[in-house]
Amino acid sequence: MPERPPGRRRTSPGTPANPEQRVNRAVVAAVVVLSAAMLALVGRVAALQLKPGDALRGHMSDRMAEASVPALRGELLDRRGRLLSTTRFGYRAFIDPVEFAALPPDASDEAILRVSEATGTEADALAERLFERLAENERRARMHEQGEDAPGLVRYLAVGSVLSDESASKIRSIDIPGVHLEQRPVREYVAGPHASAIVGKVGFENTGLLGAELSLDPRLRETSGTIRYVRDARGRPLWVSPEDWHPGSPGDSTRLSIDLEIQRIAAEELEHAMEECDAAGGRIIVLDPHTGEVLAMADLTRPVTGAAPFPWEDASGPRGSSREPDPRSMPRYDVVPHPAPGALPRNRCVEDVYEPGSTFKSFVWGVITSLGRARVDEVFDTEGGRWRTGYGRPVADVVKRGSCTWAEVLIYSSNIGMVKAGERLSFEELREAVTRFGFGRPTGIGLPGEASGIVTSAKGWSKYTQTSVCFGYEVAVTPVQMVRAFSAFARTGELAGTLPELRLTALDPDAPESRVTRRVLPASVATEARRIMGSVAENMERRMDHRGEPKHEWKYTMFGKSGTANIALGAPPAGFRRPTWSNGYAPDQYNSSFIAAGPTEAPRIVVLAIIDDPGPERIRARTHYGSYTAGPVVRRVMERSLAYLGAPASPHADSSGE
Amino acid sequence: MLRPGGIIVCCAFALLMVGVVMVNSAGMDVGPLGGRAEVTPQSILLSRSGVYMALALLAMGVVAFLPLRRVAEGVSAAPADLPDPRRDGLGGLTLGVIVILAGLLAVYVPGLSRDVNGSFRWVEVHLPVVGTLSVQPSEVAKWSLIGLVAWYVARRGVWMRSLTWGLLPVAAGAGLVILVILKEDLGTAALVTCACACIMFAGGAKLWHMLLPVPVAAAALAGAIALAPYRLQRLTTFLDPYADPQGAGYHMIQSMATVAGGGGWGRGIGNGLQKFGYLPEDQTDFLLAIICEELGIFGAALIAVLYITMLIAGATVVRRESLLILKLAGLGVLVTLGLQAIINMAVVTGWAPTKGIPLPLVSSGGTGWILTSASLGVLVGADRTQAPIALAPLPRKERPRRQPRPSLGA
Repeated sequence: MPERPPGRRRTSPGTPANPEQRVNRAVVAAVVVLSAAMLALVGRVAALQLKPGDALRGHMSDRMAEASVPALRGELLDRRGRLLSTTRFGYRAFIDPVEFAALPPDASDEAILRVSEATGTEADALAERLFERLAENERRARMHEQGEDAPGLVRYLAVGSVLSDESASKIRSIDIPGVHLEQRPVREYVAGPHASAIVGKVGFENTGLLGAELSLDPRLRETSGTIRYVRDARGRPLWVSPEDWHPGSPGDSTRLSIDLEIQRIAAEELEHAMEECDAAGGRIIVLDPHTGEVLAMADLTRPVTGAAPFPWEDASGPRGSSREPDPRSMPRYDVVPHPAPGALPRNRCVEDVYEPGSTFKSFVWGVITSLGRARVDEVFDTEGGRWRTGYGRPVADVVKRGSCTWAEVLIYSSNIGMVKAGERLSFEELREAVTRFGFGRPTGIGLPGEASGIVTSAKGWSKYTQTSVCFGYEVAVTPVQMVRAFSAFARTGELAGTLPELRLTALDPDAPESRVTRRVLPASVATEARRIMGSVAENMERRMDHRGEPKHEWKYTMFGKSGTANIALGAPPAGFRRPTWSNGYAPDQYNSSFIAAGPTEAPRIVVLAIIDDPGPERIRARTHYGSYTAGPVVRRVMERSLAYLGAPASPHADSSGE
Repeated sequence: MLRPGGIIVCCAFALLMVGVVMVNSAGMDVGPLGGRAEVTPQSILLSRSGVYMALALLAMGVVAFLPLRRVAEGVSAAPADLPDPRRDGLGGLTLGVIVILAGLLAVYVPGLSRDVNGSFRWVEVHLPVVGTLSVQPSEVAKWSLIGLVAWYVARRGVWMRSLTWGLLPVAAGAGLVILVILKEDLGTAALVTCACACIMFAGGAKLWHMLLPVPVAAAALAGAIALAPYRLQRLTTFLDPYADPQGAGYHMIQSMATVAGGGGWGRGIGNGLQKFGYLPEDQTDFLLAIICEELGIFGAALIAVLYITMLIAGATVVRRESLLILKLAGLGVLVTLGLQAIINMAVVTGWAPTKGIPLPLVSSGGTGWILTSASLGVLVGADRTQAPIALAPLPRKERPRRQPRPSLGA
């Protein structure tokens, strides 16, 4: 026992001063306490792992990110497998404003200049857009700091459009923080602008917007795949489990019914004729009458000089405020709608209607003949070309003759003869026949925005209507309705007199077509009409020869019908009304059309050409009629297309026979 | 049969091994294919931490084979002809405190200090051959102070029961050192305080004497918080980390989420997710979270069992030791080691505010590993020079029947 330590204040002598024992007790106590605490902490780990609290669970994450694996949209092909539109991947530059903000201010100006140079965008506009985003991010960051509710920071600013390979590699080589490239699908329209009416286009996000791209979108659309990967804190991918990769599937490539070569021929001939006629527009459709496949379709417009807007009368002003211009000056009005810059183009072959004029007589002729109201050889008094109907309406003919047989009424396109025969039909009979041919209803061709056309209602059908419809007025049709209806004459054998279903996609030769066809005329009447309309085509061909062109030796005969109709003005724009002097038609402007099928003995194609608004020169020379303007287009397209299709040449007899 | 010293060596080796493997796992990074060397057993052993492990084991061996006992006997015996026995050891204590303080203050020498996360905890010593050596002075001071206190308490013996002549000088000296540590490192300061208090108490200091500075310490704590507001932030964050999950609470939440991500069985070694930039300090102070994530509850239990085994073995050595200074030093080492592990585990699992305190022998850190191993070397060395344990079975007939079971240290 040690001595008591000396000192002023003595320590208590009570405790046995065995320091070793005290240390031993202390170390045991320490180890026990420490071990117990350690076991408790293992328990804490177990509790955290097996039953994490709800608050913590919200912060637990499997650190997965998902990215989409782009796939390609299906291709559009022509009927022979030629490419019309396809998709490739391109690169577009974008800027992450958050990363970009880290640049010192003096370096950012130069960075913007380099990006704009590499992408070909305007530097000022880019800088303005970028600084706008940067300022917005600062504002949001301030709001976040103050604990306010604000959306997340802007992390994306697209720069320009898809880049060329050269520009993309330039962007890759410049090392500016926040400037990245992203993959974007690019749709390439290989077939060019001539086929755009039918091919259409895709819009943002690579989905169909117009034409076949829209109507076949469900088939063409691709399914993007996904990839799920573990990412690190900076978002970089670490690894991918095999089950987390789902490749996408490309869209189905689809063969359209159109033939790129026939499309090219048709567009070329139409463009040529529009130029020759100083026309404001032109439309053409080539159809296979047996299958209903549209082989070509083009809708072109052309800027014309001297066309003025129609002088509508201000609806708020007094009546008669708009004076009629001198008719001798032949004013030319803007009657063909030109697509506004930036607006989606229309396809006037399916979306717009027109009054068909005399081309419509072929159907009325067929109906009257099939109902037995006129015999082919019956003679009609055509009154020398001038006549008034029983209710006093004047009717005139272009070809003025004293009398015509019923066949000649169609050949010479006698309005008087048609009206006189038409009076033998009841209103219901004529109206029913018009709708039977498919007018007044969409054809269901499958192109977006198809118009149904206008057929006067049974209630509104008057004697005026009866007279007008006989020569193709008071009925508004679309070009596709016309070619389908005309197929009734072009189909052969049992199918003569029936209508096909129009289709935009090529027939699969392995899946035979079994569509129900609608009979509109007896086969015999259709065949008879075909024979008679052969003369119309021959007359048209003779006119071509007389105009100083070298005499054509046509390899294929055809039959058809011309038509020339005043252009309806349509509804006045809002706030305006029709002037009292106007009858609703442009006074001296016409739709000149020609519809034909060939070869006559076994028609393979139906061609409809419409020359919208031939120029005043033609009208003064009285050569604006369908057989002068649209006829030659049809003739040439017929000849070239049939040769391309390998149709055997027609047997050349004096008359166009079977 | 393994001696307690051997058990300590084995446990230390196992902990270091876990540390090396997990430090390499936490340090994993995914780069472009072929751009980075693969992780193989060779690469792990030859990594920086592998080399540190070798150095740590070497340090343990060197200390264990130093003539510790003779030195300890020499320094703990007071000279016989003391003019005033009350002042015995005061000179040594003063000298020790001055040396430790000098080391600590080296962090403020401009050419030597290295700024990490805003606190000056590192000293960089540029050596001609080895290169730059980073040393944490607080780590050195921690073990030195424990040694100094153990020496003083053992030397003063029964005088420790005196407030004025026993406890006060050592408490003041240690308090001064702790204050300097506190300036940069609250966690270590708290740890050293506890360890020193344990030694003093075990060495005979009276409990009520020791409780006297508690009000002072409380005031000091308030002062420390006032001096460095980030400490208060850490405290408030600790109470509700979810108030600011992206800011102040981020570290704690991510640490708990990492532990919870193990889901019992763990994601598998190397398969952790949080180490890819989500959990800060994943190789050092928060390595345990990665261990729990990758190895599950088993990993946490393995670490705990290794520590507990080491503590029990260490306690055995301490109990069998006859030299008071070695007993007290051993106690200090064990308390420091165990308490540091517990604080780290509590921090990682969200039971304590986020503090920069590593898991001893596991968290990456060359200085820490080497110094901790060296301190354990004191226990191993003490065990090495103790009398062998009589574990040979006693002859049957001679075995007394109703003798109480002898304790290991008896």
